[in-house]
Amino acid sequence: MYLFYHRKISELRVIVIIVYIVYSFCTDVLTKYLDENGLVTATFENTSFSLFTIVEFCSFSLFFYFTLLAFPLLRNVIIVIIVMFVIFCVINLYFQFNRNNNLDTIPVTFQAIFIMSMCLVYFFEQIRTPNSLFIYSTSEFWIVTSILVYLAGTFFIFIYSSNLTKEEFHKYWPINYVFNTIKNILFGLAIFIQGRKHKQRIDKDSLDYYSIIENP
Amino acid sequence: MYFLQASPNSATTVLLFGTVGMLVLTIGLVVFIVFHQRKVIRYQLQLQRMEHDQQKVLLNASIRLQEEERQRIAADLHDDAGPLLATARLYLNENLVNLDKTSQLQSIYNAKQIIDDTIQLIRNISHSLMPPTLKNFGLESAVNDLFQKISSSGSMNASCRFHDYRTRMMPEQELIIFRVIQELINNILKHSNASFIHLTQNLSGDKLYIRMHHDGRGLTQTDFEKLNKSASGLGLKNIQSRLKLLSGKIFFEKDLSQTYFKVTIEVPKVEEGIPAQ
Repeated sequence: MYLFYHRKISELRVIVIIVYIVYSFCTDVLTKYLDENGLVTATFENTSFSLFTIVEFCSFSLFFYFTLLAFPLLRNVIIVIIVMFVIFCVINLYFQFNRNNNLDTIPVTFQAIFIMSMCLVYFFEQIRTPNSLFIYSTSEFWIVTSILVYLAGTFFIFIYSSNLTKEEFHKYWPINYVFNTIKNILFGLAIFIQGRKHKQRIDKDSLDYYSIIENP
Repeated sequence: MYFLQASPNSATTVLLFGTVGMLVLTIGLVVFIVFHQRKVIRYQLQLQRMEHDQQKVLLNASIRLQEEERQRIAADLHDDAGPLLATARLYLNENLVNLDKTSQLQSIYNAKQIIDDTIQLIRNISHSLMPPTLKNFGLESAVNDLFQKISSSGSMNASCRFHDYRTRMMPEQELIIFRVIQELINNILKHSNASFIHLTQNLSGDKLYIRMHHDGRGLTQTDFEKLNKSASGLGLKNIQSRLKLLSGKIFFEKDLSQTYFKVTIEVPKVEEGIPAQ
């Protein structure tokens, strides 16, 4: 989807999401490859999960930083929280090496709560000052919806991961795959809408240009 | 914490129910936002449409009023000035040279008299279009003049008092306020059957207030809004559109004593800097 539309998309918030999707895809492929060849170690898993959490949190937070333009104070808070979150994740990763659990439960839970709150702020803003008649015709609506569905769906599995046995964890881990797939489908829809909107804008601009040439 | 550290079986249940619950909540929220946002947008569009309709009504009223004014001027010129000039022309025809001296003098005198009347008539028309007192001496003098004329006609007792009008407003503003006062007085004279009108002017902050009291039949704010929306009430629509130009407001109310009707005009004051006379 991105390869098809990459020339047309220039909005930073969508680019942030595209970077996240690419990173997510690369991590999945690499993990699968290493897993099949028996090269996955606990250290690698810990680092991989923590890095993924950091990238995910930063991407989603930056997306809201570029979207919630009507809240300057909140935007500053987002930047501060990103910095604090990254520091916290690095410290947590150091202590996690000594633990059995390889999923960074606390940062992931914090991330879910914080990002879901941002989604609510976005929806509140849309109700307060609606910009378009059909909210679902905007790409950011689909991005926010996919983030919200993904985080809400995987919220309990991340919280409970430390309480589950290895077998149980593997039994319920497909929940994460399901919501990951839903998230990627909705992201694809958002990129498609954004690309189409951009194309319409270019068509309109070129039409204006030709009308200027014909009727100077 | 006990909840989170429960037995494996209950953990599984909580996990499944929690996930389903969160999902239902999320989908419910998104659906609610979509429908509510559309409702808000529809409401805003309806408001815009209503405002647009109201502006259209005001524009129509102002065009109709302009046409009526033109017709009135045309009628004044055609019915009054036209016959007067035609009569003067009759006195001054070619036959005049054949008449005796006394008749010639009489004809010239009559023609002169008619031409004087015509001049006076045209002056009256011109003054009704743009009162010279307003242009030269300002709103206070023009309103005083108007009230003196009403009082001297004997039909009702009219008085006015400007408390705080040391510097004149912009000429366009003064003209609009004067026209609004004229229209209100016209309505009072035509419909209220009042025995007196009293006008006062005050200044509060950067707002100019003009209040008119009368003891006849009057309007309340509800009546005014009702008439403003209906097809009739051309004069009131005209008042509304004129005040809109000044970002002004008008309030109609009945006095607390229920004896008088009160009209208040509120206009932001932009001074020209010329002292009022």
